[in-house]
Amino acid sequence: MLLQLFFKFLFFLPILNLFYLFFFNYYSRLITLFSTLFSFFLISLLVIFFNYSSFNPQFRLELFYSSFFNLDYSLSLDGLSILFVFLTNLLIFLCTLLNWSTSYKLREFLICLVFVQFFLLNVFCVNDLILFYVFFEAILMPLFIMIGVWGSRDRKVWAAYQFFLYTLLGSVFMLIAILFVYLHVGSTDLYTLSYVSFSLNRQFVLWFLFFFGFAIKVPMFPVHIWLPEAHVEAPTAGSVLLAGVLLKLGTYAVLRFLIPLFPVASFYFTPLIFLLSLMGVCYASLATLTQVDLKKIVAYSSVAHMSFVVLGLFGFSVQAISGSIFLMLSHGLVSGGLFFLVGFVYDRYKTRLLSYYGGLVTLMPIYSFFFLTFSLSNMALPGTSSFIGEFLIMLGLFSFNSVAVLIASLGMVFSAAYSLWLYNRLLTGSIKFLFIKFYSDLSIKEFVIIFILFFFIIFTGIYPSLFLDIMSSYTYMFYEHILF
Amino acid sequence: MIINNLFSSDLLLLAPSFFLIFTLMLIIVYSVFKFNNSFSKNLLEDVLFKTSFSLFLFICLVVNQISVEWKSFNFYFSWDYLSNVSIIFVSILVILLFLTSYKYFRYEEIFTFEFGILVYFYLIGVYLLFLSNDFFSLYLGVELQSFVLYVLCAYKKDAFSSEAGLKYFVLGAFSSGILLFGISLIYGFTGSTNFDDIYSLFLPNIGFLVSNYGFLIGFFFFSAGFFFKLGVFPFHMWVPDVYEGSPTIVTALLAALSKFVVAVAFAKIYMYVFFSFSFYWYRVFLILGVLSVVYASVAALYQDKIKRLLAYSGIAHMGYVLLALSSNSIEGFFAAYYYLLVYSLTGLAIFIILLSVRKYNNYLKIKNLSDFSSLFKNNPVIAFSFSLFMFSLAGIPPLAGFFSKAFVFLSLLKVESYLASILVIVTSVVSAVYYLWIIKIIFFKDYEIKTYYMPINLVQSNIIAFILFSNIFIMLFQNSISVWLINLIFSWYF
Repeated sequence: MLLQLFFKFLFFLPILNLFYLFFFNYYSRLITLFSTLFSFFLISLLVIFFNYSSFNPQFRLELFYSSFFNLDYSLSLDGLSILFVFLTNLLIFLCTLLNWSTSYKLREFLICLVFVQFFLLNVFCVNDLILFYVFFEAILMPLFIMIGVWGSRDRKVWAAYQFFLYTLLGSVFMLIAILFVYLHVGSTDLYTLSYVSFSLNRQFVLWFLFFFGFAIKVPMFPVHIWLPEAHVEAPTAGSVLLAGVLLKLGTYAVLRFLIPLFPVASFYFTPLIFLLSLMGVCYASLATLTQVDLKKIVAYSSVAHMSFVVLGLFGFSVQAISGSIFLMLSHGLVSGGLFFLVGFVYDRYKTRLLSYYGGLVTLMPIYSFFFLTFSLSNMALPGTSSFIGEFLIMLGLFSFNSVAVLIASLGMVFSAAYSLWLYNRLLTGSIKFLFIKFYSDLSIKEFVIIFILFFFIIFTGIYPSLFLDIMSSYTYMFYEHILF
Repeated sequence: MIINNLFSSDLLLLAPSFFLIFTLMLIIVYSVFKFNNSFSKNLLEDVLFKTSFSLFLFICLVVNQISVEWKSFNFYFSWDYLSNVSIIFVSILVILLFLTSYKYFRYEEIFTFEFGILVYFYLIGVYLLFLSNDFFSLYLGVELQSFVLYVLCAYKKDAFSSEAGLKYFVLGAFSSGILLFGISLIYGFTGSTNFDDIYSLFLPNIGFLVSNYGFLIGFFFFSAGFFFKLGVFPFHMWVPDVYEGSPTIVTALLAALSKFVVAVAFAKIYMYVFFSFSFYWYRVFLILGVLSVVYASVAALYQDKIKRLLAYSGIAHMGYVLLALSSNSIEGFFAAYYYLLVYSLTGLAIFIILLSVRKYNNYLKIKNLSDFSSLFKNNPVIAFSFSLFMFSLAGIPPLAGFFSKAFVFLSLLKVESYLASILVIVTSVVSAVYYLWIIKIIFFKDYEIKTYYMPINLVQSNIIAFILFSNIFIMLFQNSISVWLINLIFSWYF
């Protein structure tokens, strides 16, 4: 009962925060920081007291029932969603902390940030297709404004447009499919839908409509163009949220909706998925090698990693699916951390072009330590969290399709190449005194931000059961009930 | 005695109409008397206040008999729940418009008192239109409300306004002629102008009207007149010019009210009189709906004046209404009605913002899109609400515009018009581009010249806030509204 109260708090805290931000102008950042910290504290408590052995969704929060749409707006946490809510609240808290000293329209920025927090909480906790769509789309609004207003360069308008229109185009097809499912079944509740099977032809068409929307969000290989643009132009907090949580929406939806609703079609289209994912892994890794913009490098490496995640989702075994979920979480931490690190040097030197940097290791030793750690975990070094995810994916996938594993491991080699080369170009070598006029190592705020992420990466790398135990109930149920 | 028995209930039902007409006469006499005695700048506000108050009383009278179903005066008029709700909604919108127009007339330095009276006339026409149960009374209502709109478009007496008024008058009169010609052909080949009679002619065992070419031509002309009044694709030419030229307050009336009125009044005819005939006209509605959505969404990309852009977006929205009607089911009518409600409220709020946001240095209101450029810096609350309305029109959830679009697509998918729904839903992404364009100008642009805006007065900001909150929190009372509305339409059908 107490835990349910905590969950209720977790839901209503962003709303209260938003009301405060709208109507009062005093201490807005302090209040927001406190509220996000408290949300993080609450979700940590829920993670600790989560019942690992139960298959049912827990901490159910009933909001309202709409008889017209046969739509039940209730929030609950299961083994999958609790981890993503945890990740969301962690990153939101860190983003609020990062923007402590921002001066340009801070209050409006915080409003956008809290809106993102609220919508993400809903997206991960609702059990209904229409409501999922509603909140999936609603996140576009605050992020569009965030990229456009607090972005850094003139190209931000173009980037914001690409981000918005690409996602909208994908999701309107999804809307058609959702409405079709609603007309077919009469309900969009996930529990009801798990007992419904569609005819084969319908499965194929609906699968494509859904997949198009999710593939843009992931992003898969041919529709990934929006991602590097949006990442580069967004403010640091926007990039962190985009890479950390928003990209996971696509893969989360694949896991939650696409495979359970259309299992036969998913199995049928596995070769297509493997083709696109492997092309994504190799192409994005090679593209990363040619980039000169720091944020673009991280963005393209995100494309590669997310393709890897999709590869694991269609591995149809417990190991591969657990590995995918693990890699999603780990990528949220790692790429979030890398974007924070890029943001730190950008704040100091006001450029993101690699050619102006060099030899920072002598000037900023703590920074280079963290950068090295995050680069290494980006290339999935054993001991870091990414390794667990990629290893599990390969383990699960090997019996299913060994060629795919072989090509995917090529991608891992590439990722080692670009990560180390990035480290090499940015931090070692001679200092370019022409461009780097002053030096200051990480401040306490920045150290706290990066250290929290560092702690989680190393801790889950050494003790992966922290996440694996929580998700185990979900993955086993997924495997037992849906694939058989 | 017999006469007394015949008409007593009819006269009772006519009480709101009589009230409207008598109060109108009183207000006219009062204002003319006052105007002749001494010129006063406050006369306009005085008249506006009096008309708002009598409209409020009119709403009370209509509420009193809201659920009465009755046909009277030789079946010329019919009272039903749906038309009563519609007229109440229109009256509320008119009252909101009156309340916001005080400041507008002051800044524009228009002190003629006729505005309130003309809009009052318009409302009488609308009431006639909603009550009509016969093509004659329908035509009377259409003409009365169109004539008032022609006069209102030329209200400002400058070149643009006069041009708009003249253009609207010439084209509108032409379309009314076409409408009347269609009605006369229908009368010639059916022998009646009454809705009930023509409906019974379509009943399966009686009617062979479908193969009657004279009737079909009449129906064609009638529909052309309707499409013209609604302003959908091949008959849309007048819309952008009239919107741009006429004074903004009249544009608000055109955008928020007249579309709602025409669409609801004619949808009732198509859903009742021509209902068994629907296999014939649903394709026309479908094709014109798709064409107007596609055309208007593409054409709006090239506009740089805000009123022209809103005109094109209005054409696109009416296309959605036609699409919803094309499914000729209860769900379709419900979707169309819901769409019109949301569109009217959102459009009214957008126009109130356009009316109220003025530049500080010369009191000019906003004309070009680039005039919005420093809105976010100077008035972030208005900037946020304006962009939320734009998002709502673009159909982004959880705002009200999304639900209205979802209902339209639901009704389309229900009758299995997949191609149309996919075409339109892809076009809705295109239409998102120009809504985002406005948001981009509000938020992202950094111009050298800073524009400062006048503060917005209390009434206007309250109305904007009310519509904004109902737009944002629509999800909470979505269910009750939908159930109430679909019951309303269901009871109208049977």
